[in-house]
Amino acid sequence: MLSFSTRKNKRKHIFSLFVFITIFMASAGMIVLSAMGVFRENSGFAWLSSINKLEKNKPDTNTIAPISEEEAILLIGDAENKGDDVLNSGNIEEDLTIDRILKETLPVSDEYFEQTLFIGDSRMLGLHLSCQDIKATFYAAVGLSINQLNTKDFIKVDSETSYTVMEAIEKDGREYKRVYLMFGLNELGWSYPSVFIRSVADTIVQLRELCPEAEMCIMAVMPVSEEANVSIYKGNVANERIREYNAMLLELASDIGCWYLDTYNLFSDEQGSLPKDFAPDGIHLYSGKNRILMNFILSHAFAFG
Amino acid sequence: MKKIFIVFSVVLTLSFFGCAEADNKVYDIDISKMAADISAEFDASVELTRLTEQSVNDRYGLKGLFSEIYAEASVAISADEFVVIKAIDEESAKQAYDMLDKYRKERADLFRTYAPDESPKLEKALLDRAGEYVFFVACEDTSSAEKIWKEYKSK
Repeated sequence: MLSFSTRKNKRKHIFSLFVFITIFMASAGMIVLSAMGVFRENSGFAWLSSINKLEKNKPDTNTIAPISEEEAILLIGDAENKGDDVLNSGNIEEDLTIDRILKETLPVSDEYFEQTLFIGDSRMLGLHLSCQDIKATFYAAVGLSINQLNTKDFIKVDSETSYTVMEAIEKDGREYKRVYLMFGLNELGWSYPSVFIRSVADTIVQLRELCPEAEMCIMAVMPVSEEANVSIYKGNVANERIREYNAMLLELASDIGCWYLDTYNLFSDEQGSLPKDFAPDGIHLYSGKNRILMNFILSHAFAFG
Repeated sequence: MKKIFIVFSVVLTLSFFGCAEADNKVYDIDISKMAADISAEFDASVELTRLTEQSVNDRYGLKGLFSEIYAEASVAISADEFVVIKAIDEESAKQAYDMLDKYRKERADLFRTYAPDESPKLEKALLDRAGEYVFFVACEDTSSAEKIWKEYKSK
């Protein structure tokens, strides 16, 4: 005959065994159902799946042909309606700094550029000259700094009239959906990085007034080669300064709700420099490398629809 | 005094005829062919890209002045470039010449601070007009390009 304490222990054991078997069966069931595809997005259990559709559908970008904007929306999803699990969605308030970095999307077709404006310095001009088939608008010039967009009239309308960047935007009558900014190289020598960042912020405020429908993207300052690193800015710290600028640009993008395109890491080698054979002067890219940059832009798209 | 006046009048008249003859010369230059010859003469280490009509207008402000144009320019920071233009008429050619000269001077000023080694290429650049045609070239040594231009002009 069992004593009271022994019976109590036995009940405990049976209860533990029951709990264990229940958990085991539930887990096994989940695994089997998952394998059967019950939790895929089209099923009634789609809410259980946290798999990012874009990552799931991510193509081999080396082989895939560009697709149209409409196709991209179909494949990527309607960013505004899907919310959190879709990349480059534009949900400004909830985004952390890292979420402002444009992530890889399916490459879009050239139509993406029809309402796109690129503003920048000589490196942007190089991109334009290398990709003249792109139907975007480029307002770029050698030596252009971020604080000259209201003062330097280099955009030639005809043989007698030239406009500044801001005047040109006001008068060209195009309803831009996206504006890319590429600055920082000519501003490396500015005394305070904060002055550069403030200028970028002021520019974006002004651009938002001129292009109320447009989303803005700040392009990271690309590195320079080891040789140029030594010669263009105070000894050998140009790339260090560029990294400092980029960190601040990313923070600004987060603060004011802009996109940030990480073109620094696209072109930096292990030392954080531009590889020697990427640019004849260590700064301005060869045509072929500019095409790489353009493909990078095409495969890190934003502001669909 | 009368003789001097007559001689002076004759000389003046002849000089007018001479000028008129020079101005009336009709040039017929195959722009594409000439551009190909110029392009082949360029330093192979310099990467030049052919400019579209839109890029030409953006760069030089020549919109509405030409009927045919061929231009190549460097993608990177280099002053190397050349343009051959067939203007819509001689007046437009003169205007295009002035525009290119203005461009050359502005760019030379810019390069003086931005890329000082490149500035001399613009200072000694070749800019010439023959009737409706205008030719501009900036590079280290313009002598080969100049030779080609003269050959095409004399045809």
